[in-house]
Amino acid sequence: MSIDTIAPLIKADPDAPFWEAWTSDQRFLLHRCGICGRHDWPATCCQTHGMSAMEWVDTPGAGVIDTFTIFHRAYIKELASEVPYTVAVVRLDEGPYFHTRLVGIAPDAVKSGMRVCIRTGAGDAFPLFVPE
Amino acid sequence: MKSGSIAIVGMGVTHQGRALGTLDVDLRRQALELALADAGLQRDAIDGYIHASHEREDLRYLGLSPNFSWPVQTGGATAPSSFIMAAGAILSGQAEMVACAYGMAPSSGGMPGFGGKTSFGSLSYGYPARVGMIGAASAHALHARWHMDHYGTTSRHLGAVAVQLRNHALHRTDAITYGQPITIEDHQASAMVVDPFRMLDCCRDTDGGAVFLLTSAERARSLPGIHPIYIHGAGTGHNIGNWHRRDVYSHHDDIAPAAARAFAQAGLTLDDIDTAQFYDPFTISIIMQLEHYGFCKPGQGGPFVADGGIALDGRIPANTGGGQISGFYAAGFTPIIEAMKQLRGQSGPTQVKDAEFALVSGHGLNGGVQNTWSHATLILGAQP
Ligand SMILES: [Zn+2]
Repeated sequence: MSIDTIAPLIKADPDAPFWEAWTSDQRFLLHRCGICGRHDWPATCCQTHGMSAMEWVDTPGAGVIDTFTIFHRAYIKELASEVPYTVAVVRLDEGPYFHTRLVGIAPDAVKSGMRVCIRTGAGDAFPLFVPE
Repeated sequence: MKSGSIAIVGMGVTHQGRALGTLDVDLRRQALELALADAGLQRDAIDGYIHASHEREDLRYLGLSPNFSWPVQTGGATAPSSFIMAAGAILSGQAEMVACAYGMAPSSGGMPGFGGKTSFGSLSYGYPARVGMIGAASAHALHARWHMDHYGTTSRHLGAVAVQLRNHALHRTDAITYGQPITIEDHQASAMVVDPFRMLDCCRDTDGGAVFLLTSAERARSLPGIHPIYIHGAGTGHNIGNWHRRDVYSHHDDIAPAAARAFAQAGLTLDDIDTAQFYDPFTISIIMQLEHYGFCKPGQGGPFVADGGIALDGRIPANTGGGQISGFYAAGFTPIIEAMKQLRGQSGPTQVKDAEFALVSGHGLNGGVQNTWSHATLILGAQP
């Protein structure tokens, strides 16, 4: 699957720093308010302190599975060879949700509450998660 | 808005079905003519037009010349939101008679586009398409899985919803599943699509048009031979609050403020509601809305339906036309159409006796990585 074909990124998007850090050297950034310390994803304006103190910061990329779903059907032909696959909602340790594909575990072994972290070194175009 | 100040004086609903082969704008034109006939009005009575989608050139093809033509697109909440906008236009003196129009032909065309960050569908923020999260079912499935993990809701509870909706639709000639019964075993045997949803947990696209004509209750009194239905309360809620609170999946969406405002305007409580018509693209939608509107306790939506809670003789007869899953999918107009039929006594074999007040919900603008963003509630009544 070429995810750039399925869902191309948009240049000059507010999330561009996240993608640049991930694609250049697999750093996992979140958008953080420098005043209250709240982390967010995707790019967000702090409701209390506005945009001026928002900055992209390095984080470890780990958390727990909040909920998940298993695709048994390919909605587009490019994904036909990948079913069944698991899409998980990770509640990152810093607070925000991160939606990703869970790899390195059979779909029927996935449980809510499991600890997971990003997979590095595999050349993933999108940060995929594996059991910790 | 003041309870009963706005009246729905015309309803036009075309045939709703799979792959009708009719252009969407023609569905709107046909529905408009049915609505005008229902209200005993001519085209020139319409001085406001709201299109439940992206308005481009409807007015010429529909033969209308109003003061304004507004596009509204907030997903499945568009239909009730268009009524709220129509009420605003009437009460602010911009129009006397507003047409709220819907017409889509998704089952005659391709799947809506995806991939772009702003394209319509489940493909916005959070980059779901980049991990293969495509289609509305998966976004709702995340809520269903959360509900199962935390409350013990089972696939058979989801199946109870599917069977109950089919039982409603079974004798309704306006439902696409008319005369096609299913059992809980059929549900359990149907193919898993996006876990925990099986094929029979999901609605299918259908083609169809629907137009409603709204005016003031005062103007409605001057129209002879019509059967008006009244708006008693309306409310809205947006799921961004749950997103900021990082508590998305335990909620259906942001129902609480929508329901509170609508019931406060109407001066009614749940006990006054004779029938509920929920926006129900997936079986979990009924279970979670029953809980969040307060018809049962949190986590009890599955057993509530399995025990007959939404049957005609249940605590709250709901989605009596079969809903979107077994009736037809006219986006947010499916629940409004059925509420209108109930309050006019036109629901035939699934008529709720002496239905006086109906609760209607709409939710949508699929959030990409969650079920919906926007929610809207209407409370409709048979009398002003
Ligand atoms: Zn802050």
